[in-house]
Amino acid sequence: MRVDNTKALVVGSAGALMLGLWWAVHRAPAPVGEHSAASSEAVPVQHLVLLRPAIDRGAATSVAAPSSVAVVEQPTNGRPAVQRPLWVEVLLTNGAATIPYDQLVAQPLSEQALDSLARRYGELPARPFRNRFGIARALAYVGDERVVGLFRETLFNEHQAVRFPQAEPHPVTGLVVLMGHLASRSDTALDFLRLGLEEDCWQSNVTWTIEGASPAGLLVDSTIRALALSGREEAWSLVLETRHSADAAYIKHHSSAMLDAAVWWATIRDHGRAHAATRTFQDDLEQHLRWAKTPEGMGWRRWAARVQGREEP
Amino acid sequence: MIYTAFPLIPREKCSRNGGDYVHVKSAMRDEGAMTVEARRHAETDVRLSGGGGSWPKPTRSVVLSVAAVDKTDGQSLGVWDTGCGSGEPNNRWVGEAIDPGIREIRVSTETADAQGERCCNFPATTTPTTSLLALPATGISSSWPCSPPNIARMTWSRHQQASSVSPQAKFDEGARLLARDHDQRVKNPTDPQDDVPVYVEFIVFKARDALFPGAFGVGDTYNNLTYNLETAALLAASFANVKVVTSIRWLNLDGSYSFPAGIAAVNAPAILLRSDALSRVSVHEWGHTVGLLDRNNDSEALMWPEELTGTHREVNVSESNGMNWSVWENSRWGW
Repeated sequence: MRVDNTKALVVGSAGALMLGLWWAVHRAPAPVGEHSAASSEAVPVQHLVLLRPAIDRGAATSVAAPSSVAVVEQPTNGRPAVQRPLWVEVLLTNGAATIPYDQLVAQPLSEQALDSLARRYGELPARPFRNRFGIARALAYVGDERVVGLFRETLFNEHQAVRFPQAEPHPVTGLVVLMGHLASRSDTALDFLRLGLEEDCWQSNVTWTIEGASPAGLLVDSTIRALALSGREEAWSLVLETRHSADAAYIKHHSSAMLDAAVWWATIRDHGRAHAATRTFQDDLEQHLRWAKTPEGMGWRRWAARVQGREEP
Repeated sequence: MIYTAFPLIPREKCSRNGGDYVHVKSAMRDEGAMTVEARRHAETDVRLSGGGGSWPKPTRSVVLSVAAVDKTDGQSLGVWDTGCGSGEPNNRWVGEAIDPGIREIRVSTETADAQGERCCNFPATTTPTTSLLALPATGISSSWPCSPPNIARMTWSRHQQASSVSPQAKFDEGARLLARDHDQRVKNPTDPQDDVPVYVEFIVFKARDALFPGAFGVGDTYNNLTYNLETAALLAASFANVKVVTSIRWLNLDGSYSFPAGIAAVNAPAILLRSDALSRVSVHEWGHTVGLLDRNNDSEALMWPEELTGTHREVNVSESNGMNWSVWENSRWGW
């Protein structure tokens, strides 16, 4: 059973709007303070079946008002005043909030709103990154080419020489996955991911480490999966081409990520991005279990077993 | 060793009725507490197909139905001297039925639920064991019907690098949470949100492969799980029902990570548990296997999806009625 808070509030009521905004701001995962920066970023939030990690936990509660409730933007640079969704306000107040996908895409985002989000993303402190992830996620789903530059800046320059202490992947690596959603609309993002298939690309551009180790392998894994998420044939062809032409060590190292990418590719292909972006963890798990038994899934799993030197399923 | 002459399903070798049974005797007393004798004969006859573990479970559960009659009105005071044989009306059982939803009945210090049932644990021996039944009434019946709880037999295995744990203990603790009616005297029996007791006995064997076999046991891939499909593949592998690992990490489509303490398939006998997961995680995941989905509207619910913020002790009427018990009846994974 799930609770749909978006239907619980009175739409259009000013009081409800204020209540919704207050609730969203206060109930959404609170921004993480700087004092806890390094340690808090990768502290796993423990779940049972898990739903989402801390940055996602506000998913059901963070946007208490539907996207049709809007505020009026001030006219700037000669542009007329327009309305923008309330969720933009929520994110401007709490960059960690997770806005449901269907609300993000319910209506086109104005240039002004996009500017506001991008500016806010740039204003927030680089660390902890969790405090900016909600905005990054929204920008990946509804942003344009300019977002690629923002993400690249975070990946390459904002954490220079930082040594993250935890073994868990830094949330920044999620940006690469988000780049996949962006690449569904952005050629620049696709070009970025194309380069990201090479570990050298990451090793020469990323100076932050996780416990002193290069995250290059992890970022290549993320890139492979991001290419699948783009849903573009040319992106998937890159993965298939890499699968056939890369050296054995590369393949062995990244074959599990390619398996994951194959599931996501099939999901986007068969069900669409909206379906994939709105399902629960349990739905996601069941999808993996189902796909693994399909002829396509069995083929991929046999391939992975071969290159990893394991017994074929 | 392979015992081909025996069924491969572990079972309890029962001396009567061909199945699990319980038997209760009770002393006849007119007032105050009484002692109940209960027996669930559980001489174990386990036949694994090779390398399996021994019977690990030291206790058995029985569910007592403790319906009682209050005869404090005096009508029954002479019960043994009147009635049958004297030509007078037999008023032996005259009195008011005690409603356990209103008047407290305790068995071994635990309160019976609103339906007048109480799940008790006894040492798994052939000797009858006793439990104290305390009734604030003077009238009692001579015996209480008893039954075994629902049985869920499962096997477990762990990655060799994962900490050694006792899944049996985790599931037993979870079973105790499920057996209680935590809001019993609130009572609206028709309220679909009312907590109801669920009596289940988990019998958790070490699987034939006590450590992950083959490729699953090589390296760290299946101990610290970081790839989604590998995680799903381990979950679906049939060498054991419950697999214990060190960590699980799931990458969501929006680039965020989840770190579940446990994962289970819905309507399939498959559970992944992190070795340091709390006991309630095990029964939460078991809830998935019998068809239940996460419930986000009550942090007391068994199916509340977060490990550290809920109590995971309540199952409502709808969930109880919807449990697919057949999932575990024919599960032969890892025997």
